[in-house]
Formats: sequence, C-alpha cells, structure tokens
Amino acid sequence: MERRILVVEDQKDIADLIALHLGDLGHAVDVLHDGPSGYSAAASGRYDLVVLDVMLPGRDGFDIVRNLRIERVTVPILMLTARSTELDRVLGLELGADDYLAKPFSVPELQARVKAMLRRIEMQAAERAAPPERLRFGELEIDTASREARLARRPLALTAKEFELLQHFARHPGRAFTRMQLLDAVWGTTFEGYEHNVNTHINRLRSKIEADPANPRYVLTVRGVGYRFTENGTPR
Amino acid sequence: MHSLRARIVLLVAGFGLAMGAALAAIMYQAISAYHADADYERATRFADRIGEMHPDLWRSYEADPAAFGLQLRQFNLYSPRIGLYLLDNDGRILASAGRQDQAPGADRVDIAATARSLAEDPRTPIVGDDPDHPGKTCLVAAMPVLDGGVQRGWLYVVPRTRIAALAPVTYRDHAIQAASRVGLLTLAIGALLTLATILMITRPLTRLTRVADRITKSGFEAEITESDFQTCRRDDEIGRLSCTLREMFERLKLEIQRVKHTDSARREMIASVSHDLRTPLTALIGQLETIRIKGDGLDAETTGRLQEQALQNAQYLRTLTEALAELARLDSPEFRVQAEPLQIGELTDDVVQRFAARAELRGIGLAVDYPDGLPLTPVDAALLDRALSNLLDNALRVTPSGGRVAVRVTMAGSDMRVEVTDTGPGIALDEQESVFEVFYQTSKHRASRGNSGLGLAIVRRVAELHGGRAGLRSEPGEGATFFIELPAPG
Repeated sequence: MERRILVVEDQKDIADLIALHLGDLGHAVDVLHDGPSGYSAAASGRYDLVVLDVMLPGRDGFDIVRNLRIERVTVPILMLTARSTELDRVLGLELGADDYLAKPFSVPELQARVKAMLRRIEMQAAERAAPPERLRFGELEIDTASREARLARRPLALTAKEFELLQHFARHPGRAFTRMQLLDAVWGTTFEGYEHNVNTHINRLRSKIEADPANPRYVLTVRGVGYRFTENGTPR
Repeated sequence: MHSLRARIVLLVAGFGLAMGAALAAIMYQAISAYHADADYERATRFADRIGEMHPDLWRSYEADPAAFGLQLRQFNLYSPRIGLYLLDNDGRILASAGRQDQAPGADRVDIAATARSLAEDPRTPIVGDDPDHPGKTCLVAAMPVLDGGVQRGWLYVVPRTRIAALAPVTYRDHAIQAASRVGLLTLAIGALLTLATILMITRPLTRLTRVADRITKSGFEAEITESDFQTCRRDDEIGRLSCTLREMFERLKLEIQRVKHTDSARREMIASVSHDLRTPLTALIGQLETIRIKGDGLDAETTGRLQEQALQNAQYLRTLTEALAELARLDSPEFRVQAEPLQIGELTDDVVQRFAARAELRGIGLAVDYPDGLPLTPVDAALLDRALSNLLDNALRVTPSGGRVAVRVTMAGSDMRVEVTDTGPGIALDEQESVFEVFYQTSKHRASRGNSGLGLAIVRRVAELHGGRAGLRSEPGEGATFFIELPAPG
C-alpha cells in the first residue's frame, strides 16, 4: 500500500539516500531541508509518516515534535539523532516521537524501522475493526474495545505497549512466544537492537499484574525460548 | 604590624600598661575608702564618747553659751585636728572648738541631708558640709544632742586629721608606686610569656608556612617528608593544623597526579582513537577510489569485493564511533543509572537468544543456565543488556567453530553474578587486568575485525555504575570466563 512520507533532513546527501530507499519500498516521498517548512508540511495532514532530523536550520526537531503534539497532529514521527545527548532526550523525555534512529544507521535498518511503523498504523486500524472481546483470567479482565485491563475490578495503569503485550498474550493463552515473535507482534519489527529488551517490558507488565513479580502466575517464563501466558482460565 | 610576633609583643606591653593603670586606680580608691572608714569610725566613736560622758551637754550650753566653745575645745584636747561643732536642729552653728583666730566659716550646715544619710545607714561614712570651708563638703559624723528626751540640736564632728589632710597626695604616690611595680612585673612576665608563645606558636607556624610555600611552589611535586610536619605529633591546635595541612597536601598531590595521569591517558586515547579511525578510513578511501579510477576496467567480481570491503570498513567505523559515544555518555558526571527490579536470569536469557542465530551460523554451542527463584535485582536493563551483549560478542568472536559459549547466572554471596565462559584461546596472565582498559586488545583480539576495543571498558563501567565489578578468570589455552557481579538486595 502506497503511503506518503515526509523526510525533513538538512544534509542533502542523507536526505536523498533516505528518499531513494523509502521510494524503493513503494512509497511517495517528499524531502524538505529546514525546520519551519518541515513543520508546516508535517502539520498539513498530507503525510502518513514523518522522518525528522533533530539538527535543522530555523527550528530543531524537538521543537517541531512538541508543537505538532500540542496542535494535536498525530502523524507518526521517526526521529533521527546524531548525538548521544540527543538520544538521551528522546529516550528520557516524553517528546511525542514514536520512534528514533541513531546516526549512523544502515539502509536495511531504516527500511525495517519505517516498515514497522507503517505496519503499526495498519495493525491499529485492524484492531479498531476487530470485534471487541472481553477476556477473563481469574481476577484479570481485559477489555479490547475500551483497551482497559482490570485486576480484581481495579483498573490497571498500563502503557500502550504493555496493554498490547498483555492482549497478545491473552489472545493466545498457553502458547510460548520467542522474543522475536513478541517484538514482531507488538512492535512490528524484529530488528536487532530494537527497543531495549523484551524482558524489560515483560517485567514492567508483571510488576502491574502479578501479586509477586518474582514468582509470576500470569506471564510465565519458558527457558531458552521466551514467554507464555497461563493456559488455564485461572492462573496456575 | 604584619607579623604575628609583633602583634603578640604589642598586646603583652599594652596589657602590662593597662594592668598598672587599673591597679593604680583600684588601689587609690581602696586606700581612700579605708581612710574614710577609719576617720568616720573615729569621729563617730568620739561623738558617742562625748554623748556618754556628758549627757547634759545641752544644759551646759544653755547655762553659758559664750563659754561653751571653750568646753568643746577641752573635749578634743588630744585630737586637736578634729573639728567639733554644736548645731541647733536647723543646722545653725551655735558653738565650735575652732580657734578664735581662725577665719570665720559658715554660720550653718545642711544638717537635714546629713540626718537623712544617717537614718539610711549609720555605718557608711557620711559626707556633709564643711563648716570651716563654706561651699565644700567633707567626711562628717553627727550625734543628736538631747535634753530630757527631746532633741535640741546636733554634735557635728569633722575628722580633720593631719594624715587625712595630706592623704590624697600620699595615696596617689603609694598607688602609683605599687602600680608601676605591678606594671613592670606584668611586663616582665609578659616578655617571658611572649618568648614562650613565639617558641610554641609562631615558630611552628613559620615552619609550616615555609613547608607549605615550598610544596605549593613546586607545583605539588616536592616530596612530603615526615620532618616537614613534625608538629603533627603535637596534641594541640597546631598539631591538628599540621596534620590537616599534611593530609590536604597529600590528597592534593594525589589528585594532581591523578589528573595528570588522566590527562596523559586521554591523550593516549585520542592518539589511539585517531589511529583506529585512520586505518579503516585509509582502506575505505582506497577501495572507493579504486572503483572510481578503474571504473569499467574492473571485472564485476573485483568491484563487488571492493564494495563489500568498503562497506565492512564503514561498518567498523560505525561500531567504533558508537562505542566511543557510549563510553563518553557513561563517563559523563550527569549520567544516571535508571534501575528497576529485574529478573536477571530472564534478561540474560533474552540477550543470549539474540546471539543464538550467530552462534549457530558459526557452529558454536551457546547455552544459558540460571536457577529458579533468583531475587529481583535493581538494574538498568539497557546498560546490562549492552554489557552482556559485549561479553557475548567477544566470546563468539574468539571461540573457534565447534567450540562452546556458556552463560551462567548465579548468586555469589550477596551478589548476582553473570558469567560468560568461552573455549577460545584465553588471555595471558599479564594481560588479564589491562583488557578492561580503553583500547586494550591483545594481538589476537586485534586480528579479528570489527572489534572496537572498547567493549570491555564499557562492561566494566556498567558494572561500576551499578556498584558492582567486572572481572575475568583465564588459563591461557583453556578459554576465558568473564563475569559481572552486581549487588543484589539482601
């Protein structure tokens, strides 16, 4: 499916390379080289994805993302960072970027990341179209329509990724998933080094749904493979 | 006055003078008060004795007022200097023992004030009008003169002794003499004290100053010897100051040495980095230039090989710059570990799985083992992931095809221990400590391409950031075991 992608990058060599390889994926790519025109184009609503560099003349990438989100422009954004201090800001602050890629990156890495982001858009659309489900496991309740999970009737404060992880597990109880499969299903990519670590997210999910996260009852470990959800309606 | 010594001398001299002056004033006052008390006592007793011996004093006066002066003179025949007066109730002078040729004095005194002072406290000396010198006051005693139980007047006594007349001058001389003696004594003692002070305080201070000067001027390179800070052995403030100074100098010296060492290490590192960047860059430029210069003159196979090599060199440059950036980030003082309680066994399992495909491709057996029920340990998942990845990357790099890489998570006392054992060539004993240093690689490691040489430095830094340590055990020829130990909650 052809998508419209905006690339905002002041270094023409890199911008041209990105445009070339995203075009090869079958998408229509527009390239801009400065902050202000990048911002207006991104805010126009004509694009399905924006690839945004941090260091830009006129207006930096952080400022653009922040203002787009303030203006309630929800277009997915892939940030390109060149310095580790920038990386810290992308990781440490809730800037509103959907993903980041640290320079120097390779072509396959960029393509994989963009494919994953576009797949996520499709997955979310499919999610909205799917018939709502109410899944119950002992005291744990998952409502896929309202995207809410409750434990002993109390609503759980899960992040979007944690909910997706839980929902994916709960739809396939008893089935063991490798970390690759989980990355693919929840993040839409299996690219090496992507995100921190599946275990981090499993751990955070457990700390919210398990009575004793050191001895989990819902999300179980399968040694040398990965993780599986309890197969019975009631936890083990 | 720029020296402590001069200030002490000045202080002691000033103190001696002040002591002398104060003593003179105090003595003068004390002697005066003593004489006043004595005179008053004598005058009071004298008046009392007259009262006791002549209860009919008023009648004698009334019998012959003109002759009464003579009678009064007889009373003080043996103390001619004592002035004796008879007053009526209003203080008018009716008769006096004074000589007839004497200049006429006042005809009355303020007896009311005297009576009031007497009523308040009869024991302290009273000051009243001096009948012989109108307008002046002097020490007086007064006794009511009664007749048939009714007060008719006053017997007014002025103790004008010879000594008392000369007294002020004499007192002053005595006082000044005593004071100057005390002053001189104080100065003498002060001089001794000053000498002692100079020996005890300023001498060691001067010494300390000289030592401090010498050390500072040498740029903290001068040897600090025991004799420089002998005073440190003293059990007083100077001793403590010396010890503190010595400690400070020693610490500063260490710090400066450390800074100089870090600086030279940094220079070495920059030299090392630029060397490591230059080598692949030279190859990369050469490969790209070859493709451009020869162009169509190259066969497809050679072009492809050159391109592949150029890409490998570029990727190596990337690995190197990423590792450098990571190390700089971990070393920066602002860097904070974001720890959360994690199941280390599972995290390790996850990281190991990421290397499974590569191990299989190289024909290396890769296994992970961890016991059940390990406690959750607070770690920064991203950092530990990076450290474990570096260890696994190294292990897979040095292990030959057909070898094994084993990863184990165990509890070692109160520490969580993750170890990666390979069946590679191992590391020579004399190189085992230095492999964790930035850019240290054994010649064998260096031979394998794509290794940044910073991996183990990052591993060690990650362990340290978690309050743990990284180390290795290796028998050359028998492989190596690298480990990270992290403090786990008790």
